[in-house]
Amino acid sequence: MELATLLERCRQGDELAWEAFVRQYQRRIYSLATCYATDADDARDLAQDVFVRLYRTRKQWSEAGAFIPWMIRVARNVCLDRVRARRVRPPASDIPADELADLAGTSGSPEEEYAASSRRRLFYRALRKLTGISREMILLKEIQGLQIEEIASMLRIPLGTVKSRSNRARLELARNVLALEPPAPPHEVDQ
Amino acid sequence: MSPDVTRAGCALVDTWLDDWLAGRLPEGIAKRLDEHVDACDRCRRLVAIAGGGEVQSHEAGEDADLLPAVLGRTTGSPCARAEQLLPALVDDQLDANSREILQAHVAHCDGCSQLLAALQEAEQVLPALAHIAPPPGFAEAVLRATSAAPRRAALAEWWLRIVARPRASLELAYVGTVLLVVLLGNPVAAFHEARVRAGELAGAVPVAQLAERLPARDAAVDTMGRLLGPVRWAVSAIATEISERWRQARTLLDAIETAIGSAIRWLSTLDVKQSVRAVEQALQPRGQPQAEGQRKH
Repeated sequence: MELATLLERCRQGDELAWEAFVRQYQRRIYSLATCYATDADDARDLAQDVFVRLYRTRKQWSEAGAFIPWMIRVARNVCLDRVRARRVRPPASDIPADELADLAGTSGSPEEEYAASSRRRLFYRALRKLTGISREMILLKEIQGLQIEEIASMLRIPLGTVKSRSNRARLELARNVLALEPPAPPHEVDQ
Repeated sequence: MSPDVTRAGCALVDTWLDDWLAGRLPEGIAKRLDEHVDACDRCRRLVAIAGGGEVQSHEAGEDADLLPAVLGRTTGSPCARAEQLLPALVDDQLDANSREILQAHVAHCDGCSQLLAALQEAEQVLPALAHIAPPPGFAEAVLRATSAAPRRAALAEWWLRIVARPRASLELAYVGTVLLVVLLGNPVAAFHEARVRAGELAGAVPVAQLAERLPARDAAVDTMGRLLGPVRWAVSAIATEISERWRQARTLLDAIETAIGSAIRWLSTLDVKQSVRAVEQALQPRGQPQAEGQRKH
């Protein structure tokens, strides 16, 4: 089903369409929530809050062409509200990022999938070590795939600032990856 | 004198190279440089390059230590600039010339090469992080929270928002304290010492003797009597206590109502207008009532 049709049926209160919508975007929203959450339960609650907010505002949903950036904007606002509340009342515990996300995939052979999953976990750990601004830039541009213009509109900053922050964040992430797992010496690579 | 092959000798060559080649140095310093250059491969190659001579091919591959010295005296390390351009290289946003010289740098720089590899891998790995699977049952929980009872969900969200405020705990503690004081902490409270009185009453009632007087006494009735008797008496005592307190409260309310009625009746007997006029006359200066009367006419 095309996105425009799905959105329209959700707007009209079609419960089956809403279920299809949730199943289609739950991974994307949950992934975004994990970047703001302190643990898996927090991420689940955050993602659920995002969907509840989306459901209540379904009458004001954007058209299909601009829906994904709009949805990401709503999700980000919900997450930031939680982050602000958490600053006022810090969480009781902060579970390490390694335990947070289920990054296992289902494609390829077991060996390939194990290797790919290890790399994803490595990048995920490096992502969690970024500063707030850099993490958000990586999240919006590299992970969620938003355009620079969309990010500039969402964050209300100039295009040039988005570009420079994005490049800085990518370099910071790459350095974190190298710091977490230094590359093997050349003779080991040759083997 | 042994030739000077130390770094100090190299620094001397770096400093006076142009003057030495032009023959403008004093004889003593020139001789010292000659001896150093003869003994130092690095400075010999440097002199060959500076003098326009050809560098032997086998020497060209050994000039790795020359580059840092030249860069150190000129632009400094280019890695910082290279790192700035690496994201653009990954995004293929550099012109051909910039791409060529950056790739040449990366080919000889381990640090930038590793950074470039990490950036390129990030392009492959990061999009997969947008598809982290939520825990099982997530979609069902969302559907329950939205489709089933949106009104109840709205109320729950309102309540959570109220409770999540920083001062919510203080407010709840205050309300709880007030409730405890109202219910238990003052002499006219409904449950004041009710528990103690109920316990006294329950202990004073001879449940076993009452059970023996029953004509159809059996073990079950005896057991039930022993188990439920104190409870029944306690409940009865609490009900009695509550009714007593309620009766007292009604008596108090009746007394208040009677007092208010008496006050109203007493106020109704007063001639308020006459009293007000008397007060006004007492407060006005002499001659004022007459003037008041003239204005009426």
